[in-house]
Amino acid sequence: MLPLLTAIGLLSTGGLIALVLGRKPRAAGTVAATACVAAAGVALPAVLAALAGGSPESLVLPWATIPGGAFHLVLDPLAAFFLVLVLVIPAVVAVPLADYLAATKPDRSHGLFWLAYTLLAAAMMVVVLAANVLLFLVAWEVMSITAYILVVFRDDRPEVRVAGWSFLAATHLGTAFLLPMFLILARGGPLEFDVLSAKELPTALVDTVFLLAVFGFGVKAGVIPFHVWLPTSYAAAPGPVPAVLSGVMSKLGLYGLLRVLTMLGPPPVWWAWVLIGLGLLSGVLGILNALVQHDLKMLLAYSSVENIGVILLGLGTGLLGLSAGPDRGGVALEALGFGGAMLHILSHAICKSALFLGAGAVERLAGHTEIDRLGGLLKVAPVVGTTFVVASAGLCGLPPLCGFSSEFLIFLTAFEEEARLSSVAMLPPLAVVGGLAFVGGLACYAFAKAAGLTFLGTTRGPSVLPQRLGWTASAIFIGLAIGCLSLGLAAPVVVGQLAPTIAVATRLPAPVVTAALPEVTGPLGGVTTTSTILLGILLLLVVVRKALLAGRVVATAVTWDCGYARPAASMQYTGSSFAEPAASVLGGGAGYSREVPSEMPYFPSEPPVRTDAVDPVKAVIYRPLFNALRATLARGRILQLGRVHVYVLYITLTLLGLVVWVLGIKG
Amino acid sequence: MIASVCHLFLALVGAPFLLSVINRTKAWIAGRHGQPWLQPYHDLLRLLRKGAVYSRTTSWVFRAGPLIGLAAVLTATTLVPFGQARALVAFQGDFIAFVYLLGLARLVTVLAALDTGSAFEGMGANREVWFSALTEPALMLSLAALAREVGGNGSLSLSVLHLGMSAAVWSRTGFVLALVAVAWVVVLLSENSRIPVDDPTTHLELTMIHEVMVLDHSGPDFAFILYGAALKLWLFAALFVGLLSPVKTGLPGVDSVIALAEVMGVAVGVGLVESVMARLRLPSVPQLLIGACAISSLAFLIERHGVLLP
Repeated sequence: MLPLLTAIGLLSTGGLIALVLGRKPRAAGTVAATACVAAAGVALPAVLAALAGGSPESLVLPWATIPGGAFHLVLDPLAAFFLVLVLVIPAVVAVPLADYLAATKPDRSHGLFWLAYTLLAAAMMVVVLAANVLLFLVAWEVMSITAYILVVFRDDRPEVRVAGWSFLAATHLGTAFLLPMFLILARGGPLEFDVLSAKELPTALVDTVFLLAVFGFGVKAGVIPFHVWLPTSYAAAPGPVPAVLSGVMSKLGLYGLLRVLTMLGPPPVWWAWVLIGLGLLSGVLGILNALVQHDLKMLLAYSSVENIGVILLGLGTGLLGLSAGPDRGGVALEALGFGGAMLHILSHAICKSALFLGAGAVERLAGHTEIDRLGGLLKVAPVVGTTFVVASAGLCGLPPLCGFSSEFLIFLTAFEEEARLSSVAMLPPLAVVGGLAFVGGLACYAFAKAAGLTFLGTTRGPSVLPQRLGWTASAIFIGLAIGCLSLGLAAPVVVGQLAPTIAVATRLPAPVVTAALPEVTGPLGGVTTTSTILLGILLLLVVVRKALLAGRVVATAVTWDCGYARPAASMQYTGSSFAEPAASVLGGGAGYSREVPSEMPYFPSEPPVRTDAVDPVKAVIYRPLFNALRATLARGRILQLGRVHVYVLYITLTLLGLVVWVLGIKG
Repeated sequence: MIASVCHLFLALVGAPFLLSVINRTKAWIAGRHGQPWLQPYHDLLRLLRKGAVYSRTTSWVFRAGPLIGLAAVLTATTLVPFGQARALVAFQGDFIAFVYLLGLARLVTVLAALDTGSAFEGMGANREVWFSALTEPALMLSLAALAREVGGNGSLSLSVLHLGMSAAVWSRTGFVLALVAVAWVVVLLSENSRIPVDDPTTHLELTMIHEVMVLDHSGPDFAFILYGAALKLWLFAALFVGLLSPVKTGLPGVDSVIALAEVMGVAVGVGLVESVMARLRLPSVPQLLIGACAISSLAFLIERHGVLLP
């Protein structure tokens, strides 16, 4: 536990030094980034040891001032799994982020930003380690508020301030669900995680706890319909910051859900159906919305929503597997589903960090992230572009990259269940098969748009000058691309390492999970074989083509445009036109609208067609809800007269009332 | 093992021949003579002997596209069983890998197309990703229905499923299998860019899908693409007959010959469809593909019903 405390201390100290150095962006960034890297270096060995299944370490310090509170930390395999993300991703993002901020915003103090960044990392560590309700909630709040500070860094823009408010409102609404959830679980007893349990609760209350957990943690994870804060906040956050928010912070919502599930005892089948339903909703609507976005970061943000949906599908099919009963391989199915979900958490963290770092680099190069005015950036920034293309393919779930291994496991769970369960019970896995295939297909569509129109072709907007990428930043990009490939190839080993984590998450004894593990690693080994064959053939083909073209004429020319010799950048497909065929059919799910004037001149001076996408959940549910709320609350304004003496009167009346009340009780 | 390797070579050598069969069928219906039987091989050899021209707009993505695409299809070939022999590589869930390998081939082709910065290729690229997003659920759902029907013992490998298919299965759940077959015909035609979804022989770029995406490729790269497309057609035909045809004797050599004849039969069928149908209007294609998804879901619900009623 000492290394972890040291890491938390390093992060806090680094943040405070950065706060003092705030006026020197370069120095502040370097200090904070160093603190993040050092914290990861100090804590990772201990975390990896715990991940491998060492006995859980714990630490209890009294916290006298708060009744029921205790500084109680426990490092078990489930915590260790998420700690890997919490330690690595912020450290990886910090270096390019420091570059980005120093280059784009040198004119203002960066102290508070960096303090918030390091405190966010420290708070996330405590969230994962906390074994006391109050400590967990305090860390959860610190995490939310520091993330808010990161989101609103560019608060001179109105859309950033709006995004910040919706972030704050959503995160507090989420916490509002968590408080009653923990209170029910505690049953008036101590607030330590290890004694919280649903054993003596009536079924209705256990179900309430489950639903409260899904709502409360679902907000943080960005599950549709609780996701509306997410895309705007990610788009508002400066440069590569969303890599941390999406890669780690939103995953902690899933951590919370998993942790509470371990307290709830054997799950009824309908819980699995709820998770599968929400997963399908998030997956399909998330990727549809991603497809029609105009802004690269919004597209990536909606894809995060989609991937949270895929992870929920893994968890849901895992829970469903357990309901098949132990005699029908329920344990193996649950291990399969949870293994798929865990692997997808990892692969999404790697790919999405790479993509958001790429988007940050685009923002720095071009000054904006509007897809319709980008293009051809691969030639300006080859390392960034290559990583972006690889990570896109990884998120589409294509072999031999990491996304395929995880989606393969989730598919396999659903197929196995569909073959083993009977009657109505197999409809959910069937929906998972169809839904995941559809989501996968649309993900290819969305990422062909994201990668293809941003990095390939020629630029559609003002031309972009190449900028040198520092060697650390280059190394980080290349490292993420390699990580994407190697996690795909090493998936059987990685899942094997995750056995203790899966055991904790599924409340099964570790030997049972280990015994069921070959059912997971066996098929994954087949995937690795296939991927190895693929890479081998690819290598062979590279050699063959080189040999064939040796000594022949290899010329360059203008792109063949069917005889037209002067193709222009403006003739290329734009993001809107690329998404149009699907959007015209399915756009309703993404609030897509297309405006074409009834009469068009032969030579229109400005783009005559406008497309727009308004989040349908926001438009249909939240906007009317909040408007009604505001109208109701506005009636309270009659008390708010804006004159000081009236307010003094209020105070006097309140004091008078209190005096009467106290005297009344005493008397 | 030896049989598997032989079948792999059969696929590698025989794939371009399917194009000839289709061409001859169409010529026969139209009362023409048709091209020589070995014309596709000559075309491939001619392209392999050429140099290459690359667009100045393109990057490594464009050059990697044909290589990764062909490598993915070749890898998929090792997963497909034939006759009585297992595939070279077989594992639980291998058909998921099959579908996603073809997805990889598609994505790299699309990215290579976008890399040229040409409006025509952008046009083909977005149609390709849009239509495949609709065919993928149909393919997966019908595979799920088939796995449940034929696998029985919980096996989810193409190599096991195709051995489990027999006349007895057809007599038990013929209607479900017929629905799966209908869905697969649509998937096969759509995935291989044939009429009624795409027309491989048209020369009007505005209406093409696959062909228009590869306008800029030349020389060996283009040969790789054409060969990959032929192999993909072979794979779909082999899977179609392997998983759905009940004509099996159980004798290894004989079954291979029967399967080969059936694959050629699929090619004749494609030729017949192309002779009697026109290409659909592009906005109607999604309806056809969503119909295929609906049919494969229907196969499930009917089959469900059969289990619910003993």
